[in-house]
Amino acid sequence: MKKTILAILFVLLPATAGLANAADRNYSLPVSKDGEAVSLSVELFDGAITIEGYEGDSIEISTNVEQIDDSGLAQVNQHKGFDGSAQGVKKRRSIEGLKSIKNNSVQLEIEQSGNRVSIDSGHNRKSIVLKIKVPIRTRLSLDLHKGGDINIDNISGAIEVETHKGGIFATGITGPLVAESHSSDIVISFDSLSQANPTSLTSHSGDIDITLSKQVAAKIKVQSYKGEIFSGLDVEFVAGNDVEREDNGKKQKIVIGGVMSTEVNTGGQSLSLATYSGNVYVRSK
Amino acid sequence: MNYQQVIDWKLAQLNQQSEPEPSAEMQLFIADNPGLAQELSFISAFWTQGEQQQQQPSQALDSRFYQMLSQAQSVQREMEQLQALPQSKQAVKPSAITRLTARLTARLTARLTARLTARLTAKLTAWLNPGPMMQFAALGLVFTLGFNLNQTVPGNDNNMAGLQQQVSSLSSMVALSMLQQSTAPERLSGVAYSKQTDLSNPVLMARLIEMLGKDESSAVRLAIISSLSSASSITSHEAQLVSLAVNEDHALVQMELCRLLLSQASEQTKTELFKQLQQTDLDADVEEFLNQITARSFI
Repeated sequence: MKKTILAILFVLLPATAGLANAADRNYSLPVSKDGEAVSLSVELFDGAITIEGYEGDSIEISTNVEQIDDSGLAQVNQHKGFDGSAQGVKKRRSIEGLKSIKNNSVQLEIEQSGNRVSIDSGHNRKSIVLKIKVPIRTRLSLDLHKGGDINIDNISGAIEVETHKGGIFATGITGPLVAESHSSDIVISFDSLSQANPTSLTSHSGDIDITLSKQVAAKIKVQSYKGEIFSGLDVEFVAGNDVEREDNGKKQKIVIGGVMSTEVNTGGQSLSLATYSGNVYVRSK
Repeated sequence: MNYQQVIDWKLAQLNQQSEPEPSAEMQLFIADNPGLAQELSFISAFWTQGEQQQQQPSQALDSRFYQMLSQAQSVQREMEQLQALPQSKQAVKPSAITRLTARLTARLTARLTARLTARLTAKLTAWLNPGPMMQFAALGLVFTLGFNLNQTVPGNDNNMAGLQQQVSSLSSMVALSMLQQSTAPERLSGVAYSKQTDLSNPVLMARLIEMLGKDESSAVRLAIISSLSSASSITSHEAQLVSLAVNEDHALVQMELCRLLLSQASEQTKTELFKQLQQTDLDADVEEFLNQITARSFI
């Protein structure tokens, strides 16, 4: 099995205080041309990810590392005791005759094994912007801890995507898609919906906004605990079954966060949308 | 000893949750039922092939496989509808029920034969790349279906129930297989299949509970909770579910676990749940949710 590991070390030019710096690197990783499955896994601590599907047989990776301006932080770092309590501002040692060297290195590991490519940034403090072109059929697994958004366009493979801070935006996809954000929005436009496996979008406090083309067939289930639901579909949403039962002579009924559901084009694969405090928008195109 | 017990043992054994060898009584039963032995062989072959599948199938093969699964799902739904139909005709005379059941069974037999035997065998074989093992497995599937259909005597409700049980076993097997997959969408399919059974299979139930505690996808965990809410009973797993609910980090999953327990668990379990939750730092949204539930639970 072919296996290639690229450990990339970026060394940026000396920084000018207060300005962000950037370094671009481009890599091309060929994959088999016989239609075999291609998968790309990305785990990024800080930055943004843009994935674009294209009619090609290689994975084109463009990286851009941005230096976060933290020049003032070192001078105000508080020294903490073993118990975690603040011990006052740490006295800085003399830097007379010394010049500041910015620690601008950042490691990004790209590993290829056959048609499987994985990219891992580790716990970098630098913001890394990834722009990647992949064959349309590529399966994606994307995880972004902080920073910007994840954008996906023109992918027919299965997608798993998770962001902790940023939003998730996708167009021209077919799913199946499992997407999760914490506080940002999930905005997805489906050209069609894969009937292979269920699709599920979950956000704690972000809005979920989906647009379905006319030919999409799906059983849509929406669960919004505190938010509102808006639909542009011709079909009506109906409430799911509430939990309701007799309990020691007292009637118990739990209805909070009930599921609303509907079917478009006589149903099909399950499309679940769940958010605690965000709104849900279901549009038709 | 019956047919179902042996299949449950086989599934448990493949999950390494049971003895590797059948008991003496079970061996005798299998020896007396060659059809059952064939089915066990098929299950083993299906399972082993899944584990050996190192290379990802192409999208086209994936598509055919999932189309096959969809068709199996469709057939099962139809069978459930067919079984439900006589029950809704309580006023019909017994002879009419018998004739109706015979017609439905015949129709079911035809559909199962035409759709499952032909299409499933072909597509399953195509998906897994035909090799000696899978050809044998496909033959096993044909034999299994034939065995099931031969057991179905028109007009016999017990046999109808038995047939449904066999299909439920097949769904359990497919669910267990898909729950092992690496991608969340595939595991979601596995959970969806588990929901089509009554979750009486202890291996499947144990697997779902295990995944509820460790699956990295909250979407999968939420789907599992939804599946458990339709289980005939969660009594034997209430303590585990309380522990999972208390230790869950994801707010939505924690809310749904609490909702499940508050809806279906015993009063003692509910009390224990609240007792343990009070000792933890709850997410503000979860706390608000629980307050709303407890405020509304008795009306």
